[in-house]
Amino acid sequence: MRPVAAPPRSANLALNAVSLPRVAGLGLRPEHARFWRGEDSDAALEIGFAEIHAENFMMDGGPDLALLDAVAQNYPVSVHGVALSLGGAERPDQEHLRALKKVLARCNAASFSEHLAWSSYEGTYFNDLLPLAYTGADLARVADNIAETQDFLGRPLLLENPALYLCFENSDWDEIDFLIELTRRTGCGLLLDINNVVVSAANLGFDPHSYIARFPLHLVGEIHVAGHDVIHTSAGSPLLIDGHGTPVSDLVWSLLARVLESAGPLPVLLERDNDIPPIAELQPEVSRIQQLLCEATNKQEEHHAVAI
Amino acid sequence: MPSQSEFATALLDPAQPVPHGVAGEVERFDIYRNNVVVSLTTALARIFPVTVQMLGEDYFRALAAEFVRRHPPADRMVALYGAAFPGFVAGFEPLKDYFYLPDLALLEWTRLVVWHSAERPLIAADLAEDLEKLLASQLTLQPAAQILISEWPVASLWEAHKSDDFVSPEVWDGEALAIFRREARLIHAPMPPHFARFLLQLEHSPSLGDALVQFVEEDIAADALRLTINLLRAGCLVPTTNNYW
Repeated sequence: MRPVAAPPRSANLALNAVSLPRVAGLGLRPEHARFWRGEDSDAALEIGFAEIHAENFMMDGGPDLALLDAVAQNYPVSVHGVALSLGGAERPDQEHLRALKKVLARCNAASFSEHLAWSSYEGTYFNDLLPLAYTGADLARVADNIAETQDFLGRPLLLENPALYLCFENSDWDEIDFLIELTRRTGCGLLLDINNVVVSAANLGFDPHSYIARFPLHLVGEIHVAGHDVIHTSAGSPLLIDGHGTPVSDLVWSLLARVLESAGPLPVLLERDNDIPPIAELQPEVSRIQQLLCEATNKQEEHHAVAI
Repeated sequence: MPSQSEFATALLDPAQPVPHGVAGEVERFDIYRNNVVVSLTTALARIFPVTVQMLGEDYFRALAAEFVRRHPPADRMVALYGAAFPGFVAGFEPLKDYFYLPDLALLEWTRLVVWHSAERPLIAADLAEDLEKLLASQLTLQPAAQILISEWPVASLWEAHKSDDFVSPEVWDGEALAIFRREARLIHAPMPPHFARFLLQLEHSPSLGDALVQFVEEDIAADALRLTINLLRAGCLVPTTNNYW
């Protein structure tokens, strides 16, 4: 592959607002509280930032919030929302926005990200990231929801590409074009979830390599990697499930290497939300991210040296 | 695209057809149906671990799935989903022989509420040393403390069911307990139900002295005072700010 120099990153408002270091991050889970508090001398992971699900920290008080306070003292915190329902037919919920703003302020969030998906309808919350059609009308609605959110929070957000199990017959926009147009209309940036690309590609039948090759990496402020599960339909065709409960797959690793080679180092989060192992078991995956980031940095320096 | 209304309805009702405009096999839509129910039943299993232990994982999952379909969350904070679950268990006909189960589930729910509640700073312990000042003080449970009163020995049942080697309580009297938090630990303070009623009375009395007077005839005033002092020292009770210094 031809190495491409990273384009200037100042073109996008959201990327200016992201102050996450371009290192390996890990999701904050209460199961790993001792590690995050620096009390687990066995775990020698080098974690550069913590990511939280905003909705797990919207309570009034208690030990979970105390843990977040302690972590925010020592790590940059990326706040990742899962319930804002930006793709929803309804406007963002005002009460939820207020709660979100409080969480962002509490941990002095270095970044805020959400999903191209919906999860609420008429007062029911489904606790899943549901798909939307990619049409002009959907685009306009999502852009309005993003703009309203960014205005309310007083900061731009990073929008994550979804993991899909189905598509809609009336979708007439390509997903990447849809995402690019949203960044153009709202000034938001993108969060590239490489596992989601692999899951959607397998389920909807497209080539993940070409998707990544077309993805606007100059708009990306953060990368996610995670594991998926494989199930089979009654007809025997495999379906990938975005489970976040297993190690990162080989294909995701090779796509990550390719992305970092092209874009240079970026903040990379290891997501592990289910079947959470002792933290030491995540060390090999964290090290692998660090190694790929290191290679990307060296490559970038070589490139600069040649240019001089 | 189907309307989100059609999609949403079909998500929670497996009898509904796949929404029109969705491309591909039914099983693809079923992944979303499954994700919704599994993610929420998993959330409930975390909140009600002793109920899971008592019913067995499979039975609990089936029960919780039924609950999810009938009472899907209205709040986006799934960490606090399930307030209606103990009531749902109480009304679930096939479980009517397990008459103590709703209170056990309520105990677990109460533990969660206490865990996530805001705290109030602990008071200086010297209030508990100065009896005159103490009797004149208005006391209240701190926000991260709850009282549970049951007709069944729920605290003992909960304790017994934490592990696999369950021993049925010998005495099936009613139990009450205060649940509160000290730093990152949940504490159960079991007590006979009439003491729990005294603590609830305390919240509405202008002073501890006034509340004790109501219980003099029951001959529990002295024990109630001792309990009050212990709970003050543990941080479960706190003086209301308006009359403290």
